[in-house]
Amino acid sequence: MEELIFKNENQRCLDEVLRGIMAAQPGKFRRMEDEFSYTLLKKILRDDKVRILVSGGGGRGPFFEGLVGEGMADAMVSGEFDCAPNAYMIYRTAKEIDCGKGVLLLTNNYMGDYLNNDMAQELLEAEGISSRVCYASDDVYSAGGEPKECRGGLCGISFMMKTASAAAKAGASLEEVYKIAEKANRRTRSLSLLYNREENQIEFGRGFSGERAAEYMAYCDTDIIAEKAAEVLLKELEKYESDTVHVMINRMLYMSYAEGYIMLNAFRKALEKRKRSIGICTAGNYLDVYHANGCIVSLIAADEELGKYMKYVNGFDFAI
Amino acid sequence: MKKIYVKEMRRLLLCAADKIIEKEPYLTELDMAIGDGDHGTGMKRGFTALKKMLECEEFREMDTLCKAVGVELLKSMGGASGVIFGTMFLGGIRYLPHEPYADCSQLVQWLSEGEASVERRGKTKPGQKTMLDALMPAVTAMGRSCRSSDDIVRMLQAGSEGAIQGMEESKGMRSRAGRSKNFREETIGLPDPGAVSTSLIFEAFAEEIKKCEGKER
Repeated sequence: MEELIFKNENQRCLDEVLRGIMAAQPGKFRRMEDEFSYTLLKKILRDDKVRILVSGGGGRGPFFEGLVGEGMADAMVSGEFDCAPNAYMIYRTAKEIDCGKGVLLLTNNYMGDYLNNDMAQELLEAEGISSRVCYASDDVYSAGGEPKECRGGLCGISFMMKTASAAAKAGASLEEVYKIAEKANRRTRSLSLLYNREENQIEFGRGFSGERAAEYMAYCDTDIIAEKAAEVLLKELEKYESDTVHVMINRMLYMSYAEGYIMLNAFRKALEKRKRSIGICTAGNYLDVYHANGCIVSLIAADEELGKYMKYVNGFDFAI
Repeated sequence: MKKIYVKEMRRLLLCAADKIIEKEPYLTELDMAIGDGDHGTGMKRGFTALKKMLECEEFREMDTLCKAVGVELLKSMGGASGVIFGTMFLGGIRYLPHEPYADCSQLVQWLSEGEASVERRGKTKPGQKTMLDALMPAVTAMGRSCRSSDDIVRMLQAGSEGAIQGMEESKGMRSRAGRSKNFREETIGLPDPGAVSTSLIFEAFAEEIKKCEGKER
């Protein structure tokens, strides 16, 4: 990932991001100091409930530093750019926020995140703190040909986070919250759609570390692109064909606000054509990993139980 | 040389740190080609932190030293490498004595168990193009050397040769673990970055122990 242009050479830029967020939202957050990772916690944890801790590699955001707040996570830990945070800090943060009901650790299914969360869970267990880990694996074109649990995660983690958070708020136990997040993951699929200027092509499923796209399509109307993408995603969700579909368009750095909503509308049309009931639709800039014009589309087929927890959630500067 | 003292182990580790820091651009280049690109910077961050720790703190016993090394790597590196290289030092820590020195067989047991712990934690086996492809042949060669001689210099030399050979063999492998598995056939031809780092560490150990030989203790 290309790093930042506006930064101070001798300071830790991700640390400054957190300070900036705290300045924009005075009184809402607190931090835990660590030389090698970045932590943000809700300042006041009122309800006596299962806590949600999200973690992952550092980036241009708002994933993950923007994800702490009402209806989202109680705390987040991120590592350096593109690098999973260390197990000790995940463990320390979980311990800090736990109120005795346990902590759900949410992260994307990458080796570094897996290893550190797995180890954090052991450290927590050794101290009698209950925790479960959910790994988001919504990226349909990663780990081609392998089962879903081998895939990586893209933006689907936000569906897991908000359903888990709502369930926790409603008083669900750690086991129940864990099951909700797992269910959300089973029913979520994401796909990256990127414009390649040199070839005048749309790339389906290019990986963010430079893995080649799984499919290509000559440049064409957005409705046609969405039609094909919806086909790919819904085929994966065949089992849940009577359930409501919620849509999230995650704009990359060079996709405009306008293009994001053109894309969203194209998906609305594709879903209506298939007579699917449509739930929450959002377009925004949540996770910028490609530095390109394009987006990541995430769909979740939510049954009645998940549907109860699928509400618009407002971050202080975005909605999911 | 039948015993290695804490003071010497510290020198070995400092030498490994310097080698890793020096080779960061190469590790980054490799990982950019067939991984997610963060291996070099992560290793550099970890071994820079390790160097700082070794320069600032005093250690008296072998187990205390090597435990601190593992924990420091784990904390400072993050990512998959932090856990993996941390585990390589921590997994077999119970085999190192709470004494200012260790012998051949203690070192072999320590690193063999470290290797087994990396396999368990990463749910990975040698042959999948990971650091295990250098670590496993290194500990196997050290074990073999240890059974025929109790000389630490000879054993670490064998470990270094094993690691380098394993790293070379990783070039022919197709990645089946971690982010790089998504690159599939494209990974063939280049060595695994983790295996390169592992071989650098063992190379440093072998080089530096030779310089310790015959010196006053």
